[in-house]
Amino acid sequence: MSRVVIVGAGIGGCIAALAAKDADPSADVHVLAVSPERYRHEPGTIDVLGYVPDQQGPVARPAARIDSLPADHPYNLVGEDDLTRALAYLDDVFADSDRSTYRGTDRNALAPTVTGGVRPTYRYPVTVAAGLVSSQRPMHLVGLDCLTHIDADLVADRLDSVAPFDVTASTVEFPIDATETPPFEAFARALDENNETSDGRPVREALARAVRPALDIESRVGFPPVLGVTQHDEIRRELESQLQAAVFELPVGEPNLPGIRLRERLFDRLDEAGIELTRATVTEVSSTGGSIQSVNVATETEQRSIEGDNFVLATGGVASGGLVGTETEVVEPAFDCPVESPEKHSEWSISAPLGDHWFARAGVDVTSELKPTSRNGPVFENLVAVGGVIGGHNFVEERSRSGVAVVTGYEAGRSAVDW
Amino acid sequence: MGYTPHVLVIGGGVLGTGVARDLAIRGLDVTLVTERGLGTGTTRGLGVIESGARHSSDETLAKRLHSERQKLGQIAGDCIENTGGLMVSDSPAQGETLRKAADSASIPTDTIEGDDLREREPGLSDDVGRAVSAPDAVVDPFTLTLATASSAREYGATIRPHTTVTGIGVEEGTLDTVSLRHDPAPGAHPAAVQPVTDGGKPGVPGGEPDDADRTMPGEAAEEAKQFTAPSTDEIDPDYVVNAVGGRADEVASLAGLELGRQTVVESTLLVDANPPDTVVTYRSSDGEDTVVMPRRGRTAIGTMRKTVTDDDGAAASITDVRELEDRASEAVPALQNEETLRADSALSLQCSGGEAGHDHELLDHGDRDGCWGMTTIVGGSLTTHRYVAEQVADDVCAKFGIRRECQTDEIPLPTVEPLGAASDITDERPVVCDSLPVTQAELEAAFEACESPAIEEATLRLGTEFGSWGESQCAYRVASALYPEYDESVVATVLQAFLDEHWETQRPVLRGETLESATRTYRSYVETMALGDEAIHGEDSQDGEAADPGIDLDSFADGRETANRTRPLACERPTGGELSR
Repeated sequence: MSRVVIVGAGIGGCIAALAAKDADPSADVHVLAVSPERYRHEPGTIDVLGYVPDQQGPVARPAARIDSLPADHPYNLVGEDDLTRALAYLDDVFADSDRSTYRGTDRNALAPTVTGGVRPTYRYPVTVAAGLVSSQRPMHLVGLDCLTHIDADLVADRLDSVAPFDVTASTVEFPIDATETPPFEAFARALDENNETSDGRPVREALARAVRPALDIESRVGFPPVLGVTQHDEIRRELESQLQAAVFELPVGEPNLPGIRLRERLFDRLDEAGIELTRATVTEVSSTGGSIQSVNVATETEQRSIEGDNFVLATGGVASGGLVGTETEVVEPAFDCPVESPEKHSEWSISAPLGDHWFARAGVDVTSELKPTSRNGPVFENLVAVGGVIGGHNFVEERSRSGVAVVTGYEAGRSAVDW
Repeated sequence: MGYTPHVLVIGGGVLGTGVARDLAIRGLDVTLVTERGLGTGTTRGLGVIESGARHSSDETLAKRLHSERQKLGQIAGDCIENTGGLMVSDSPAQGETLRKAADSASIPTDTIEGDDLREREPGLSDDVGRAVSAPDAVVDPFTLTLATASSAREYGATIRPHTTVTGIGVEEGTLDTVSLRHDPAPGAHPAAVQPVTDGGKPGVPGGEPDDADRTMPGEAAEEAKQFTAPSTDEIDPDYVVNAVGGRADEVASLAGLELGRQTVVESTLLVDANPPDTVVTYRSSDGEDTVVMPRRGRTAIGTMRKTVTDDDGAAASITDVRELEDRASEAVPALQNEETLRADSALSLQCSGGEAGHDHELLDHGDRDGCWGMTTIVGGSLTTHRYVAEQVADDVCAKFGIRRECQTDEIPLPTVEPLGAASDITDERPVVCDSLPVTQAELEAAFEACESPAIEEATLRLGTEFGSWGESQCAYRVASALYPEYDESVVATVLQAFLDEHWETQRPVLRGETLESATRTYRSYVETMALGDEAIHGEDSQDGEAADPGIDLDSFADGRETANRTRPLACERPTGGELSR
């Protein structure tokens, strides 16, 4: 029986854990969640590859374009066959007995953004499916008065001018008041519980009624991402039946309910697979002869040591805390894997605010087996890296961040029990 | 003399507006042009009005500063907060020198010690045993600039924001015509540069307001305001005053003149810490002063020292940032643990043979370069700006044989309301973004008060500012407040301009949590909002109908088919058959 310790419970860490357990059901897989609340920053979609250097517009078939990525890109290290397997495995993870919570084909879809743009994405929650710009049907967007995150009229104006179909909008008041700001979670809870509004009507029905007058013949209606957490499917179906139109959500920056739902989904899967999930951070690593024996971790209540045969580094990039910028260098604090930083701090970023910054490419170098490596070879024989902690490529710019997490997670998880 | 000389003042900071005001009060015809919004460049500095007590080594300067501080207190009371200042040092000798020097320059100072000192400024380090208290003050340079410009206008000056000097003609050793370009949105998408339909004044309500909720996209595009189209004109001033500070050499070069002065930079940090009550000046053993002072509910750290810029340009480096933080936390230890949100860099030119500090120098290009008609101001400071303006105005008046005394120290500045007429707003709508406590109505008023909408100017008018890049994640929502009054292309341009400006203040402070949240914001803008893509603001046809987005929608999945639906068995794992449908 092999013991696998996975540090980080983001998309990559979860997929690694599930893939390990799937490959070897007898394996003892332990996931350490460092800061699972960060899922609130996740858009909730899986973006495999949206842009490549030699193509102007978005990529239509990600698998067909990995050849234009550099040879040391994780996708090329893993290879097209394993990439395809990994993405198929992801579909298994998302699949329920009756229906999947996620959709997508081998082609990217184009989803609308909260600023009225479009973005390529590969797997998307069903809640996003009806809103795709690549589905060419008229749509109506609903803004909520007290949510400045989405100016529905502005988004509609922009989408209308780029899409070959009509996009209209209205802004309504959410049927109940919320004291917290922003009220995403409060609204989602109210819809989950279907509370009664002040005039005695259930909130889902009241919301549908508020939207109805502005709706013309559009066959799909988009909302800010507030349509429940636990009862999300039911809420959507109820609104769809009342509005007689498909209902979708438009993800915002933060907090993102689709991201939180994704976490719930993945954590449920870990639970079903019998994978232990502990909220902890790594404080110390014990190794002998180039192999890690155990990690000391700090949980909320105790310090403990966890032994393992193989370890997976899945703590994410700079945005997730898996890499930390001191003033002179970027470091990987969990296993202290070397990260090559530019000589000068001024080279960490470029003057274009949304350009190709070094900090977005920062990370550890890996071998073809995804082992973090220095110039002298792998840092540890039994450590593999997953997702955003891998350096050298701007996954944000490629729109490949979550896809890289899935593909490297799958590869790392399987290799962690194969050895 | 039978006619009134016309003076062109270039530069919209405290100094430029100060010169314009002085000349206007003396009766000259004055036009002031400034490249950006009035006063928007002024907040990069510290915003302290010095009592003079700091300048022990130079009694004349100390007296001058003290006198200016008193005059500004009288004419600009509305813009000034009399917080007082404390000068501290870990060396008692330095402290004693400070006090003695202040005495000799007749600056009212006190020595405060022990419990009195702790009570006055609880955040001071325990190592600081005594402090010299002096009448320093905090000023909001933006409001001060608006007030000074407003006063200049009262006396007949013409103020033209968003106007760049593009050429200065020289004929036979004399300045000739000056070419100007008015462009409120340089670099805006060409589609945004269209004539407006309401007479050209942004901010004048046109069409039906309050119809936002039911505005159809097509209609909005036709009625919404655009940026004023760029326009050019020429004027023929009798004299030009170049008061653009750090970029004065660029203006001078238009007339073929070289200033031969070094550009120096002064960095100011904004720290997410409770503000001190006073202006704390810490003099370290090497004699260098570091200032810790309140700014908009947070703490600003700066130095009186200016450093020569290197090839990398104006931005502060992480080393500068760290050095300032280290020095500041010697005096106020709690700062050590607080996040530095931004680093602003103010450029100036260094006087020949002098420390930049408060010195100033008037370069009369007639005397100096045989090119009559222009004076460039080098140096000067927030505290001395009125005095420097007086010197310039004396000089210009003398050239035209005008004998009028300076009155800028007697005539009070008018009270300005940065939000214009709409200053008294009650709004039940929510705050626009979590890190900026302003409502939609306040933002609309602030944008309307700008000559041309800009986020930086609007937030300054609201008395606030964005701190870290993380905070700016909701800037897109601030820009959206312009809609539907303004066209969506204006919203996009305003957001982009803000992101570009704000990013400059962020690059030097990227580390630790600041770097982490900045990276998240980057991710959010690029990944979730797709703001980095050109496609979203692609060709925008006039009638708002189906312009080609440049993307063949048919080659992308439409959400109806799904890999899962066609899969025969949930656990089968084929190698591509299912994915290729």
